[in-house]
Amino acid sequence: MSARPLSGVRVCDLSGQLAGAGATKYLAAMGAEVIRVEDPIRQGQWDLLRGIGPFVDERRGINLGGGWNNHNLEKLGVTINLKLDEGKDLLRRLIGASDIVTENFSAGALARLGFTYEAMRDIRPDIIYVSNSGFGHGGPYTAFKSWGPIVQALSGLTATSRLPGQPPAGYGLSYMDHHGANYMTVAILSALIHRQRTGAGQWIDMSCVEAGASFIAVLIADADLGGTAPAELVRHGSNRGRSPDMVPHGVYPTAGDDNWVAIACRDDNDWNALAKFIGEDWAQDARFAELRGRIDAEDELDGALQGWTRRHDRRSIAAELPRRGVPAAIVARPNERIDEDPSVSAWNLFPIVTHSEIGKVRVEGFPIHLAKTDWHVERGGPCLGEHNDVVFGDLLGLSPDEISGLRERKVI
Amino acid sequence: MDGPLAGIRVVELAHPHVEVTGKLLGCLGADVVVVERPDGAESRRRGPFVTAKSGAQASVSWSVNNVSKRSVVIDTVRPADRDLLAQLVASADVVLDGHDVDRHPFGLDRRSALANHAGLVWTSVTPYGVDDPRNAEPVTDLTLTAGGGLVWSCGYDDHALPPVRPGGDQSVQTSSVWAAIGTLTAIWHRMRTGDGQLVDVSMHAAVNITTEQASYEWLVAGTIVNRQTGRHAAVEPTQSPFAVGKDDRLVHTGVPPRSIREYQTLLTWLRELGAESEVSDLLFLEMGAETGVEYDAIGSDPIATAIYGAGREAMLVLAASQTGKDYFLGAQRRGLSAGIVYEPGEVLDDPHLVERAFAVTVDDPVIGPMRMPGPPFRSPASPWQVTRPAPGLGEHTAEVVASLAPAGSEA
Repeated sequence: MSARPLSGVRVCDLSGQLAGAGATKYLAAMGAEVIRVEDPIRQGQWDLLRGIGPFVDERRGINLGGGWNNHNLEKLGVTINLKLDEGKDLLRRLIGASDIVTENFSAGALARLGFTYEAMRDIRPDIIYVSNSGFGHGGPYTAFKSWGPIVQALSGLTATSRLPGQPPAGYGLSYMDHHGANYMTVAILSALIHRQRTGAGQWIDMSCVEAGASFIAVLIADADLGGTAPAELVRHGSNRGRSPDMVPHGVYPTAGDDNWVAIACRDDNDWNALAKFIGEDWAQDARFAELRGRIDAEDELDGALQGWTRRHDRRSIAAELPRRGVPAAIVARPNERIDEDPSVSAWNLFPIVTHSEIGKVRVEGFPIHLAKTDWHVERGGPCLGEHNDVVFGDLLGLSPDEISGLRERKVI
Repeated sequence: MDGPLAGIRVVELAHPHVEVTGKLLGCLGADVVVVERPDGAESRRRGPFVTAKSGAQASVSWSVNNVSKRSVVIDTVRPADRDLLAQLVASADVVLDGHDVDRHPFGLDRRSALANHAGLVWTSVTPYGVDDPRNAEPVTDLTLTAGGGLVWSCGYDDHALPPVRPGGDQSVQTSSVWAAIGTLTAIWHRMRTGDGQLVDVSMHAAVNITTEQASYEWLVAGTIVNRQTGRHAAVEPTQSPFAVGKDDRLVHTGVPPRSIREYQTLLTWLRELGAESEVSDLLFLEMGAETGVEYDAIGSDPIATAIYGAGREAMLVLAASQTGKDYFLGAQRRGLSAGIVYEPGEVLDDPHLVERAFAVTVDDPVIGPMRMPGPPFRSPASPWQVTRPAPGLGEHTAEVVASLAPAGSEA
């Protein structure tokens, strides 16, 4: 195992769901000591994924949720009841021992418990505190609730995923939970670098809606300038190739049930190669030889092309066209892109970890490899309060009797 | 005030796959020098285009994705330029590269650069990772998002319609954030040890792990999700979260109500609008106001399922009784999650983002003043900020040459 770059960095992690926990998962995989703090009274279920499926077998329970495990690898888990003064004292001690505090409650929730940035800075002057919420702190929507699909609706992402003549399809996932976590990671690493240079911590306020807008920044700027790109996207749908113009460019049905192949002709050479591969008269139509003609006859061309793809196997198309220089890929099902893709296997993108109760289970790794200081995961997410003794005893110096007392008084 | 990367030089070898990362690092304070060939970066010729001040067509894409950078032109046919590029790389803390090492248009060899410069961070963004022979195959955003799994999860309930690739080059966007994460991690490590290294970013892998439960449903339970209109792809079908306001605006009803308080709020709001009679299962809504509903019981317990469905229906009725904006604001002000579906042109003018001064206006020398999304996070001690508009082709060649060349020499 290579050296881990964030060793020696400790995170007091009050975050959850994917939008928060995904960020601290990366930090933990890079060697940070991430201490995930959960509520013992609600059994950590502020995080909707705690104890929720998928499950590896017929067992059910608060520690067995597959998504929760995936997002909390390599972390330590403690429970603290923050409604009690003793619990707040315990959190203060943990913050004092930490470099970073992370959370993604609704804006202001942690402050209402007494943990403002100023209060944390009094405990530890160089603390880095990162708040990640849907709308950020400040502004008329500060108290509003959100999750991935709402962020995507307001940031313009939902509207820019669609077919012509249809309402928006949006995203079939909480895309901005992933990228909320990813931008939170960028924010944390930037703040660490700043602190290393200057010695100063800071409070970072992150709004997932604002981060989401950056994912379609060009479309937003174009619309603001009176450009036509967003209207073209509505008219043609997002599967077609605009900016730059590419025709044919789409997702086409193939033989079998719900089987699809994506084909993108970037230029006339690509089209000529595709037309030759198709080998039928319609594909030799002189109108299609140049881009302008293909754009003018795009509906007709797409219709003819899908008439051809329907009679063929998507895998053979996706295997053969790239060899001829034409971009093509199957619309991969999860099993196909996870289990049947040699690039993914070579990357070790889905490693196996061991969870205390679940056992061995496959999880998502990361799409980057650092040659000298790479990520490493082998331990699953913590069971509820699994590391109370280690963290409160070894780290904070409480005696076994003191920890027992905290348990009896339902502080932990 | 300086960004966190003040003093860090990034040499970006112009390529569409690394320009968003370069912008992010530049806005975080790095001195990003984008290296272009004499014919200019490919992105300069990529739309969408608007009519520039001069009357010519100008790329919005270039002007948005290349702020906070300087531009240097290198003609690799000229030995002096090759020397200049070598000096530039030698001066760099980070090189951003989207090219395949075997077909490198700048003739650079990352292996020897890394060997010769112990502190250099070389971030390479390729379709499948630097050592994968599949990089020889052509890709586009469409094929990367299809092969990586994003497209499988997006689309409509009607599976006669094709699955959908979201707009905005999301394979590039996703890879770009990961390239930034890897680069920042490597910079952090270098600050502590002096050691540089290769950061290898696979675009295919980046898309592949950005599919939320589609991946872990398969990894954990061996089940496959299927696309649905406007909501999470799921193993078992779920109800649509979309509702339509009386002005035909599309709203998203967010996480459906489950708590007693949420059901009580829905009932009260319906009564305020005189619309409770339009809910067919009012009895179940009233039961929800007494008991709430447990997440685990939805789908298995018929009563719980009916209560859950009544909450959904109440939201649809409420949305249809008012404009989309009124529903969004009314729901949120009552503590119920909701969103309104904005077109791209509406985002920057939302009152919340206006009050937060989110948009930045950049005085682009070609296009003129243009607004674009601002900081993805607010870090007051080391802020994200646009330091300059997107550069003209080779606009900074002379000043960069002067800063590199020994006094009196001619590069």
